Amino acid sequence: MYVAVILGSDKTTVSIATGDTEYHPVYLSIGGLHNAVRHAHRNSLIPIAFLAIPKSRKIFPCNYFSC
Amino acid sequence: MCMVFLSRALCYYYSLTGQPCDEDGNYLPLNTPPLPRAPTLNDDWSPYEDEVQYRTADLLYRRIEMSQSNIDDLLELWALSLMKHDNLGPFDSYKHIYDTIDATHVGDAPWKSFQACVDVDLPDDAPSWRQRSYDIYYHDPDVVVINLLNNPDFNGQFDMTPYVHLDAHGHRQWSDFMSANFSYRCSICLHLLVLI
Repeated sequence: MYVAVILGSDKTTVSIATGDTEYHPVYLSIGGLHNAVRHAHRNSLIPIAFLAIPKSRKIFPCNYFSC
Repeated sequence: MCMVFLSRALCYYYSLTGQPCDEDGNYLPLNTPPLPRAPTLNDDWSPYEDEVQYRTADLLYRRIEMSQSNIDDLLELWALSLMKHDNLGPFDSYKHIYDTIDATHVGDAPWKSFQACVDVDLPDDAPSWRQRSYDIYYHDPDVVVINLLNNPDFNGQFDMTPYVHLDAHGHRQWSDFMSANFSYRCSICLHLLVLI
């Protein structure tokens, strides 16, 4: 059986009161599931990773990856 | 292109029918019932000692999100009241609860972590965010996919194979992921690669 793996990520602010903690969770789901199931929050979309968020002191860097 | 036409006007690629097979890849006869699932023992609360421990941890950590000092205060009161009966509360401290939750394995994938290292060839004027390392926490995707495929809740709401859905007028119907051209083309590409 062919299992398609769907990955997604979005910035999530976890707590504003205690210091504005932000995470970039990575979510995983599989393609065989019907859309209705995936939308119904029945353990079909699983967070699999929390990515690090590098902070830059420059607010508007001219090039994010080089300066 | 070879297509298999079934009722409901669903068309499958001729060799990708999603028919169940055994461990060696031999097709099973149609309507073979699935193997029974391994029975789960309802009285197995490990790593929790019993239902009380599990429900206490669930209530304090997940539902109330109680602070560590409040958990310790509550557990102290609990132990004091049970001391009359020569007994103690379900946990010693918040640390005891957290360690037990971390040791939970049923129905879940354990969290792992690795550290992203600093590039050895980093130039001296590299920005500060490139000069530090980062912790990254993750679930093993293999285990997560196996858990998803193993979930009996999804029975009947799962497509084993991509398909093309046509209505009575022959118009293409788009609904779930496997009805899309993307999954259809990917499946056929993978299938042809396996044949090579």
